[in-house]
Amino acid sequence: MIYVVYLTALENFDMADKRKELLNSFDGEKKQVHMEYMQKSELLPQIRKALLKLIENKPSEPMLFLANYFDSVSSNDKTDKIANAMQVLQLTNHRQAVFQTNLMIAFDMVSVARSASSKKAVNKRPGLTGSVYEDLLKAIGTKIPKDIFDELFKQIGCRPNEMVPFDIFRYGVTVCYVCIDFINLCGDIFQTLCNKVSSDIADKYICDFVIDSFKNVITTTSGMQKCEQPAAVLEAGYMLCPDKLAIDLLNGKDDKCGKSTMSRHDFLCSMCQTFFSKIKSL
Amino acid sequence: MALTNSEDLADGISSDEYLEKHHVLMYVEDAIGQLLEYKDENAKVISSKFLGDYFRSVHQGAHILFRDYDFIQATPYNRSCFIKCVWNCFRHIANHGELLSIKEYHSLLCLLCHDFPLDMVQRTARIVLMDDALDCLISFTDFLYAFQIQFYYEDYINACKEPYDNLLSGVTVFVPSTDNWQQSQPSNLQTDHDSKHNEGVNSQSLYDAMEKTCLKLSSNTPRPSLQHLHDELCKPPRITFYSLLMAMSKNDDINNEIGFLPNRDSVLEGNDADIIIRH
Repeated sequence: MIYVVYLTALENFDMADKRKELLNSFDGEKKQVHMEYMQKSELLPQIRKALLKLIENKPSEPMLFLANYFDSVSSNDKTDKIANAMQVLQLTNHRQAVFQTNLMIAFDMVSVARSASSKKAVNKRPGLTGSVYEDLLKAIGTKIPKDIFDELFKQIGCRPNEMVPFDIFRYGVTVCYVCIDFINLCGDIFQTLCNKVSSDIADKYICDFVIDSFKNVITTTSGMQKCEQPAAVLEAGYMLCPDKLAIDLLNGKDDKCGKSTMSRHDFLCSMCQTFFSKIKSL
Repeated sequence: MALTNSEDLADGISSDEYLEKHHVLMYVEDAIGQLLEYKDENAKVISSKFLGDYFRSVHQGAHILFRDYDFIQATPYNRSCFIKCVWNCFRHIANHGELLSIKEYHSLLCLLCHDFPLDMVQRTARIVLMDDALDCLISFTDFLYAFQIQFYYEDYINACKEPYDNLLSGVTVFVPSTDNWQQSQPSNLQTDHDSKHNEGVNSQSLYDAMEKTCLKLSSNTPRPSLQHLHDELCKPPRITFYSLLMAMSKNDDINNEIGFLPNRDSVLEGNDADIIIRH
């Protein structure tokens, strides 16, 4: 099915016709030179590959995607399999179906055996080792604050000498990306809770309230059976709806007089604790 | 940074629709053309690096600088990048409160695009001056926002002009597929044509006509949302075409919908260093 789509796109982009239109604007001699250049150089295969990748991933910003793609082609360091795997994984958002395909491609890339010319260890069998897996997760998690990342890695990491199967790899990488999205969302929540004076601190009482509400909702709904999960989602939505939260907040606030504050980092750490409680430890 | 819903929807769109929506093939063709021209003068160009730079410049909105008019008006994105460029390059004119003539604005635009047509500038001036006395001077702010409406929505405006002229001249507009067609009042032969021209047409009739025009246009043609149009048309009972366009140029919601220029009161803000790079 996918190949039919590719062929259709390539038919639309019929190089022979496009070349003719393009070259009509140049004079005869130049035309000849350009034709020869296009036939000999890798230009057309490169563009074809780029368009196929674009159609496969359908990013929301195709121009940026193509810019990054051609940048990576021009600076392609073949020995750096982690950087290559990262490029593939970043082609699309983890929530899209094509991300699964990209996971498989990335797994193959990082599982390549070390080259025979390497003077170091003699591990010539293909497969993903724990140390390479850890390096890849670190590369993905550069935006995650270090202590949160360390905590995360305790749950999804593997020992350096262990071989990592595809399922573990897929789980770990996906959790990493979900964690990044989660941290961004928590950052946005914190921004909303911040006072007007500074964007780095917020009232501790409000932050604690938000963290506790979130934790309560997650723990309540996680105890439910699988068949009750749609109801669980609705229940979570009800418990977190703005008017209910506002009423609970106001009810509690009357008792509190403290003016302590909480920093963004602490807020993120606390929210991530709830996140980690949902991750399956490996 | 909110999660983008557009990535969720990407799975539901076909490849052809995706390529057409973003005009990908047009940009790829242009990239190849630019590369071949560049290669003539610089034989040692690395094609992948050149293409990377080209697409990055498209993403940043700098790709329309010094290009010819055909390229600039080729896609809505190109047009809005050009408008933003005009703002970035010439906004200090507004600082001094200078008023310029149409020809002077045209000269400025020609600095960015050598073959930019005078006709487009004249049509912009007609919006600001309400189709009257085209040798008057115009402020930069008025010109910029009217230019945005005229240039960005050019196809839509051209499509709406005809129903407006029909309403103005009293020609019945019958649309067989709808139950709710509007018939304008039969023209009174004794009515002075000029005064009728100044009074314009019934706002409700004009809104209905513009709504029907929207349905005929292709989905890729940019047009203002009907809600914002309605907001403008529900105010006066009668309206002329150019006063509607002028009202649209002053409407913040429509400006935000296009999304490339700041609000009118912030038009002077920002450093020159922000030029083009900031999205």
